[in-house]
Amino acid sequence: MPVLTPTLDPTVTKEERVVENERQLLSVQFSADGQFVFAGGYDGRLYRWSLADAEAKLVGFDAHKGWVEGMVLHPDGKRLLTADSWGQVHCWTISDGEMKPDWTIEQTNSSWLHKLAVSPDGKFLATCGNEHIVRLFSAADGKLVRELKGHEHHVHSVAFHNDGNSLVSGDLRGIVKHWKISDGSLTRELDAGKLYKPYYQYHQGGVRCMTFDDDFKTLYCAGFEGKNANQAQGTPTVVAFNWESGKQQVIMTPKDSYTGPILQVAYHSAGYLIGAGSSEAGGMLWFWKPGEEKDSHKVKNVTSFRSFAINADGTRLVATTFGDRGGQRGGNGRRLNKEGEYPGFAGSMVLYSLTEQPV
Amino acid sequence: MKHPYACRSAEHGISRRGMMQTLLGGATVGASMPGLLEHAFADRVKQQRKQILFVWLDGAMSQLESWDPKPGTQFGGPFRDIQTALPGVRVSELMPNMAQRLDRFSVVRSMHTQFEDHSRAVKPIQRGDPKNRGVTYPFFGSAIAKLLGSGDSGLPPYMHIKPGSGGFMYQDAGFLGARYGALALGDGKPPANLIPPKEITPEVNAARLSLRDRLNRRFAERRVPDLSNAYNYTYEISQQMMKHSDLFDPSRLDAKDIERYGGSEFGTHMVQARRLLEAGVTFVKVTMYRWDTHGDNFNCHQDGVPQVDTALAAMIDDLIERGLYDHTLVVVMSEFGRTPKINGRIGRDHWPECWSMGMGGAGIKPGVIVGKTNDKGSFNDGKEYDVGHLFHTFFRAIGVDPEKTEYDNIGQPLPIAHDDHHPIEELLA
Repeated sequence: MPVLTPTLDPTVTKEERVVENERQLLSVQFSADGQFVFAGGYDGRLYRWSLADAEAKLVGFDAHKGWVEGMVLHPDGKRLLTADSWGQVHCWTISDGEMKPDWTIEQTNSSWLHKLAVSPDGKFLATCGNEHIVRLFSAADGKLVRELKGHEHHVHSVAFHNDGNSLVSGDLRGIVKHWKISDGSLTRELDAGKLYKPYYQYHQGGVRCMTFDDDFKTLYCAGFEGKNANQAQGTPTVVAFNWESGKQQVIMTPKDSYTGPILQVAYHSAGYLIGAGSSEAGGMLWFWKPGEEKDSHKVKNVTSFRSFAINADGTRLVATTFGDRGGQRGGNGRRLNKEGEYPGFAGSMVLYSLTEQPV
Repeated sequence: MKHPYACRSAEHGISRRGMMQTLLGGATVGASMPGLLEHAFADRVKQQRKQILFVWLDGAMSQLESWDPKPGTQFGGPFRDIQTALPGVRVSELMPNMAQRLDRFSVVRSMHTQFEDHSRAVKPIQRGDPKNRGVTYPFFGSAIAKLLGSGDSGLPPYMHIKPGSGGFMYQDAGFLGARYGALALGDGKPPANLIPPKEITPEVNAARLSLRDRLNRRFAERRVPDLSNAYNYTYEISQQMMKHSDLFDPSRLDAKDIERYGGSEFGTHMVQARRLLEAGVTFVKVTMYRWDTHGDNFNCHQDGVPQVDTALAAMIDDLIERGLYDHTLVVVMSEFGRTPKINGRIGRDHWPECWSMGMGGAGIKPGVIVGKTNDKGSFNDGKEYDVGHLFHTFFRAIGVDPEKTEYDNIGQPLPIAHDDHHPIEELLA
């Protein structure tokens, strides 16, 4: 039987399935075999979604106490690492049964952890957060290897290069630092200041997310270009750097007038950069071709996107969203439901197929 | 009588001369109008000499990320809480310095106010939201300027340090008249022309003053005394400000102080505020913008709350060390709180239903936590307080009895705080 290689066609992106959750969801990852999706919640729980069963609901596990914003799949495909806003990291063995952490770093950081990354060789785990320090741990047992100090502001994003000795981290002021893993020294800084704008005493923006392309020749840093307001308003923006020269290649923005940050970017091996926008008016996925300033396609969602992941063969994308799919919006003052209660927003995950034939 | 020197611009740039003109304009309109109806009041105030530091967190700081955290609950947000100096009382991890000083400060966790948008809330809240009597009530600072005056500092009684532009904010004074408005130092910068040109030597300046005195006496002979008094008042204030020009020079602030106050712009403004209090300014307001966090609430608070925490804690330490805390009322508040619900932009919206504010110093019992919210932090659980209660409390704390003191608006007696409200007695020392 011939094996068909699916080809990404953004124009056929189709919502395949939605699963709802009582609490809002943040981080998300596919398992290596694509059979499960894992998500981290505002309630500190780790959720597992089995895609084999079209009717499956989320299964939750006690995991963290704070928001689970950091999540990364280990390159071995067997382990999942999660991090929370109280500074704790768990390493899990992926399973279809009960899940408990294999090991835990109780306190990596004195404050909110935003992102995690694992080196391509699987040896190192990097954490970043609001403490201004990037930390390297052994991905085997969670032991601290090195602290990378130099950022003067919150660090929102971190990524490894595949050269075996490079790590990048991006902060609130749009400063991207290129570190040498072997000794923790700073190699250079890249300027993504486009993603930062002060407004009176508010520092808004930052490198909210970053990713390399498949051949590690381009680094994409994303967030938003702030306006003169203190509400995270602004143009969703990606700053692309030539990795070798460190020079900016292109500033990528949407064709539309969407306002809000890009909270997740990922490179699809078919040659697209995908970014997810977060706004009260709804979420948006944009598809850019490398080197082009404007997106070639977009997909709208009724609720705001928080994060997304692409499965190993590139056929599916899953996104965490928050907001009420029934149309409940935020707003000022007392807003009670018909029962006279004050409800919070629910969360959901949306599974998209990216190819002509839904999987 | 026309008063052509009255400044009619609301947004003119600040200058010593411009301030004088504005003060004069307002004073001539209001000098014979509003007074106070309690006669023995002035003497008492003079004996007690209270001052106020009013920290205004414009846009509304979240109670859940500061004074009233609910970690691990539906609306709790990403942060932890920490133990304070008060057994069993916890605040957000973003306030480690104030947590250690909560035995010297007090918090109301059960505020409930009437307005859910800025345009309707900012002014009424700062006026104490009294009953509508067809007049525009003064902001807190203007009320204090009227009630307590300048003392013997010779400096304007109401000064405001704020980001952005400065100027004379006569609108704050409402029916009291422009004289009681705020002199605002935009970005903490001093009024323009405060330093005389080099050509004006002390001898030349003395000659100018002598000439002014002669002209002023002639002017007074043909006008009502109030008018010339207002002239003299404003001129004296300006002269005093020129004598204290170092007070308004940010470059003279101690770098170590700025560092202790957190090194932020807000922290620097708080150091300036302390200097103004030390110099005897009766009411110093410090405004911090940035708090209207409908989007990205948590990163914003992670950045902003520690700025408040560090500077406020350093301020309290300094006031105590200098012996000023016992007669300086310190108030920290916003126009409302922020929603428990976390919206689709990872923000919190406006929430007057239940929110927190802090106060300490003069007349305030330290280490008191007033009221509580329910487990989710969505509504008050038990007795709640409006801003009218706060104003009664503030006035009582500085020795002004709102039950006995009224404004006299051309014969119209007006209460200085909401008639139906009362002080929060458990806060009063």
